[in-house]
Amino acid sequence: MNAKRKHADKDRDRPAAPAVAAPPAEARGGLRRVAITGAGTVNALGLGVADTMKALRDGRCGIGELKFRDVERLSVRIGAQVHNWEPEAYFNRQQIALYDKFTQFTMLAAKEAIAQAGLDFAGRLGLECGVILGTAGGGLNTWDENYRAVYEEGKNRVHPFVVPKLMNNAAASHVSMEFDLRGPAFTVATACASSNHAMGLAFQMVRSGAARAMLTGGSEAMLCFGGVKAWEGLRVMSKDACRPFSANRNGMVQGEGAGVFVFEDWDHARARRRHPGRGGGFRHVRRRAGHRDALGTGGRTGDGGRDGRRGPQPRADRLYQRPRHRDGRQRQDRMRRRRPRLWPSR
Amino acid sequence: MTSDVHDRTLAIIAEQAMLDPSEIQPQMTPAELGIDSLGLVESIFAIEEAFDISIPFNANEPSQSDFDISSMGAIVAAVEKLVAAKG
Repeated sequence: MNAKRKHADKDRDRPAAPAVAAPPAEARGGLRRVAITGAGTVNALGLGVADTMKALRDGRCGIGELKFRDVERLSVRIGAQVHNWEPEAYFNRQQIALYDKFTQFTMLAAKEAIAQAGLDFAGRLGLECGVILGTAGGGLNTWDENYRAVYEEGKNRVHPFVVPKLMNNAAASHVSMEFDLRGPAFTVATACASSNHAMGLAFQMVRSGAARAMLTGGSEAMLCFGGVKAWEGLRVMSKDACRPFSANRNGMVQGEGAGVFVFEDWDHARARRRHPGRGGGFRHVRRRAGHRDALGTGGRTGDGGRDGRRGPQPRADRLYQRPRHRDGRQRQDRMRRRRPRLWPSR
Repeated sequence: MTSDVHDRTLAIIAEQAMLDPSEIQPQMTPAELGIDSLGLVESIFAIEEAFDISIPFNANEPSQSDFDISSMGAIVAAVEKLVAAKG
């Protein structure tokens, strides 16, 4: 029997992949299994998951010329902007007075995700569910507009809702109020990792049994004069294209939008026979973690903050994530040379 | 002039309450019009913008403010006084 044949036999003998039924929570040390039962998004490619997926399949690029006030004073003039955004089409006047753009994006994405999940939080379920979202900049457009009013235009009065609009937790708070989520509702801010960390926390809450379902994900809306000017200062922005894996890459490109998921207790979702997506099966969140090394800004040591620790964060070594930005990668490469033994072998 | 201030003030409040200005009676309180504390702060901001005046209103203790918001009549009278003082 040659090696190839042997391999094929082994495959045949292997039991078929188990169906969606999971072992009872007791068998998993009381930990719950977590399903993704809803998704929603607003981004430069489209309003909604279907539009976005279609654009991805069609290979359409969301990056283009930026359009907003004073863009001609910027040296970086491209971005993945949500063009022709008309909040009046989705929100009433009172809501628009309270929602910064990052909150507006979030509300639409959350609505889509909840509709797909088919959950109604108005009753008792709302007490067992919450929302954890990520954002780095929060209501940056609100800061920008009102700084402009008081500094540039010399106005001495701003609208009373400037603070509730710009605060980083505005989106999470409005989602919780709009959809009756009466469990934990807060926002995580860890730069580009914000939404990832938010989803990690939401996952832990459902897995531990602390929540039945959590809305999670995040949003960003930094595409305004002050927002892009700030990024220009960092000197990491490309003026022509986003091509992160190309040898001639010359920087990153900023986008805006929101992505929201419903993380739900697997058994709870099964009990109501929820099978999202065309494929009919659950998406399954296996594990998430995010550990920092607290060694300063600009990069990580590369061992995911593990520093050889064992115990509560046993999987950090497997969860190492490659920094998204070029400067991070360069720094990482230096660290790699300096601390070879702590680098995860993979 | 005074009647202009009266009409514009009522129009701002009516817009906030989503009512027609003719439905607003002088003895009505903000609560009766369905204007909550946030709506009141918004109305005061809109009035300040419309007449370029500064209204001495502290949302922490509305009753302790120099600006009487107990009824629509009181609000209009106070606005008229502030506009007149501006000259």
